[in-house]
Amino acid sequence: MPPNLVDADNHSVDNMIKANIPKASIYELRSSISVLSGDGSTDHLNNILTADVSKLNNGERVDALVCDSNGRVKDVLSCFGIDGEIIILGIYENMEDTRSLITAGIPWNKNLVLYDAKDALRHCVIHGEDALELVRLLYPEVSDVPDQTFVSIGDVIVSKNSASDIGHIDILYRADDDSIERRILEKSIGVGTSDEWEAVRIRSRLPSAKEVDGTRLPSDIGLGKLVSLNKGCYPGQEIHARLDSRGSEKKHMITITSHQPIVLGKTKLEGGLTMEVTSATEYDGGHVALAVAPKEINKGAVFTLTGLEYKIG
Amino acid sequence: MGILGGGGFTLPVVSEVEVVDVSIDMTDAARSALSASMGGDEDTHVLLISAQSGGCSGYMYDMAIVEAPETSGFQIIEIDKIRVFIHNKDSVMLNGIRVDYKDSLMGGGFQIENPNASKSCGCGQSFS
Repeated sequence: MPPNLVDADNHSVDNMIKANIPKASIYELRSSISVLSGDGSTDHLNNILTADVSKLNNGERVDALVCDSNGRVKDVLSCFGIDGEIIILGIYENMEDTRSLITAGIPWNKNLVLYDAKDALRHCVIHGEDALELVRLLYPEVSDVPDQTFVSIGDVIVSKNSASDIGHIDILYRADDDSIERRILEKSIGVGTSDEWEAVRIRSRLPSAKEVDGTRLPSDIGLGKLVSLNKGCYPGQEIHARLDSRGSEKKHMITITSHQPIVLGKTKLEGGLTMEVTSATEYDGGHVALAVAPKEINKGAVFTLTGLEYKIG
Repeated sequence: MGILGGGGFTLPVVSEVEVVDVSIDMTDAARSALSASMGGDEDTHVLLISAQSGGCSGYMYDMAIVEAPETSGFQIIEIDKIRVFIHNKDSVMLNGIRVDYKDSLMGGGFQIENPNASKSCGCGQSFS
């Protein structure tokens, strides 16, 4: 532990960490949504992604990363197999680069077509400890949402996101279908604002475009679980295999809480350690932030900078 | 009906890739090796060079001597009476490549140097 980081289980900022996290709420997100169609679409995607999608069947879901040849994460995708086509859900800000990668690499003799579905389909998430209970309230016909699959209710698909450690269920629906909105109204379920989602996302350590900016390794931002080391070649595979065999993951993503605003960017700590705050927002009268930090900085530590106090959550 | 089904439900196609006029360079060693590989079939067969997703750097080259395909969508470059076909969709990635041939038992064969590639993997078949 660096000299300026002390164990602080009973520290005053603990109260903020223990502040009520909503058990589950629903949030509408702006996401990249595309549809890949044609024979060989799973094989084509499999050449690009960090997880094996070659056997994606109807009704199944695979979460994976798009990385560059240096192993840095460029997008986080969820692929849904549906009637011979693949719905590809990704980060909105990274949409153009990912689409270019997919279309430029289509073999000349394959009739694969990528469609833009970002206006025709919508994406919302139910996030929180009791996410499944909220899904059941919204859709009483759904008893469970098994991993790596999705449930179809008419034009709506409901699916669990494996990238999150906390309950996180994606809902995709057609923009011309207002059935989900009617159900939300009927059940008097509150929909979280984008500011509320940002705070929840940060507290749950879910990376967004601010973290997935093409400069970080999967393990730096908590996405190592979406990398398969035995699926064969994909961009970045050599780097990921080397990191795994040498056990040299040096960074991880942490949350920071403080009563003072948290400044974005790199911060040098005593002991020679540097962390980079990537996202920050106000929350419940205080401030929360996400940072990519050396693994020496652990949960529960407290540090001070220019007289202000911060806690690693 | 399903999320992607139903009459009247259509989606716009993501725009096609950019197309440029392709030029390539081929060393004397590559011309000689290619001529030998053709075995006198220049009238009916062509060299097809293409790129597709794959490998550890993002894209992979493919070179094959094939029966001349339909010319639609291809750019045709003639080198020493051998026709080289490159598809329009690969034109940006393959424009300006230099094809060489190395006569070596290990790591020999046709090699591609690509000025558009920011990185190539050790085997030389994958680039980004």
